[in-house]
Amino acid sequence: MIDVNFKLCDECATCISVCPVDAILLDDRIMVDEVRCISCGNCVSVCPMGALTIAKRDKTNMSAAQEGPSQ
Amino acid sequence: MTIRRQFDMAVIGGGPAGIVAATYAAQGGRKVCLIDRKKSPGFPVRCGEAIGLKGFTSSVAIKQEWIKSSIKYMKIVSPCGIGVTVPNSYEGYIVDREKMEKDMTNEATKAGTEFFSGVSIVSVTPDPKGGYECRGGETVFSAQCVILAEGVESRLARNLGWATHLKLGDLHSCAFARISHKNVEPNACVFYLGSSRAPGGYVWVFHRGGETANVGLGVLGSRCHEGFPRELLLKFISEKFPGANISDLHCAGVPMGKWKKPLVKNGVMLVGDAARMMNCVSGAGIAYALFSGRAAGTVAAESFDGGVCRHDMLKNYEKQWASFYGKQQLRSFSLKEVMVGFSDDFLDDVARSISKNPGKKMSILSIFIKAFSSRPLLLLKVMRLLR
Repeated sequence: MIDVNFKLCDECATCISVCPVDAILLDDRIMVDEVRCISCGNCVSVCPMGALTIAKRDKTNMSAAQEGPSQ
Repeated sequence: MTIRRQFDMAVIGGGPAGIVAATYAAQGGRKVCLIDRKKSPGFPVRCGEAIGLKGFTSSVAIKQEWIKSSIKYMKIVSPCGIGVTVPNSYEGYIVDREKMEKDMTNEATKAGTEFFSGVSIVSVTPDPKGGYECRGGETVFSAQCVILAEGVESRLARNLGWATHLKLGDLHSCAFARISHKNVEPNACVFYLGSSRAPGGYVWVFHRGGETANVGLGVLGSRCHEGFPRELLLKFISEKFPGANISDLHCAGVPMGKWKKPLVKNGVMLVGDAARMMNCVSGAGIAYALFSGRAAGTVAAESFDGGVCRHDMLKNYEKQWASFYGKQQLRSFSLKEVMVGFSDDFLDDVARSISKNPGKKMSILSIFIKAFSSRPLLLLKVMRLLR
């Protein structure tokens, strides 16, 4: 999952152009679709402002979901 | 509540390409809407604002009040700091893009275009009648023909089946600022090379009248881990223009891939950055955007027959682009592919050999010949690519 620092984000949409799964949308502001995102990090690499980071929580959340007593 | 609006043509994206496309389509007698996400045309400026004289005059009548500076020459500074001035290398302008786009938008509306600002189109889908429905906010814009001028993101194009997704090596991640400083070189476009300054890219300083300049820095997408453009730009400015007054810091992605074939599919046309129309060496895109907008808008207007858009006729737009700028753009891509492999040492060698023997008539070609005289294998590689 990707975290967006909205104080830095300039809404230039560079991240959208390199997202291989079309998980990013710019409407009023940048939104990352958590379901589509594969955490490849392309958007994080190319953000000119350094406004994006890969949030570590995705893996822990995923493993918690897999292991957790979801029934 | 959904509002439905019916048009002959919808142009999505209000940059230079979109505005010109809408203007020519409206002048051709079509009912056109121009839809832009931004609240105000031309702002913020994400561009060095340089355009060659030829690029302008072929598509738009230039207005004196747009011109901030007349550029007389280019200068290239090697990684170790050797400056090579290329006289008569460039004749062009630095323009006030905000003013230019505002004026051009006024022209478009005068021609009959209906302009919607602050509307973000989230989807474009085919309708049963052979046209398209463009959804944004509360409104559905129906049109028989859609021109996508959405810039670097090119997301709607991707949703309609174009592979406009960019590889990291086909993108410059850029930061821009305006500065005011006494060291700004008047009437010049100065390029600074060097992998520590801008990995895989370069820094540019374009005189913008008086002591002001547009300064920008592009890093190759695949090398951004070596430094974020914003930080590298601020570092560069503090070194070269200490104490400069910095304003309008913005950023952008500049596509550096091949233009996207086909440009036309079933009533949808791609123009400008959305179609990856960019000179991959110089990063110049305004001239391409203006040309493609004009060609697409004109062809689209001509393709209407008795109120119905004949989609097969839209292909003429691609033919016009391919024969006018298409080959040049592909050459620039090939050249970029070679140039990203140049080491700092090589670039310094070239700068040294040129500055030792300054030719009377220095052209880009003569620089190239000098550059490769000691590296015939590299020359062969370039020749093969450019053939």
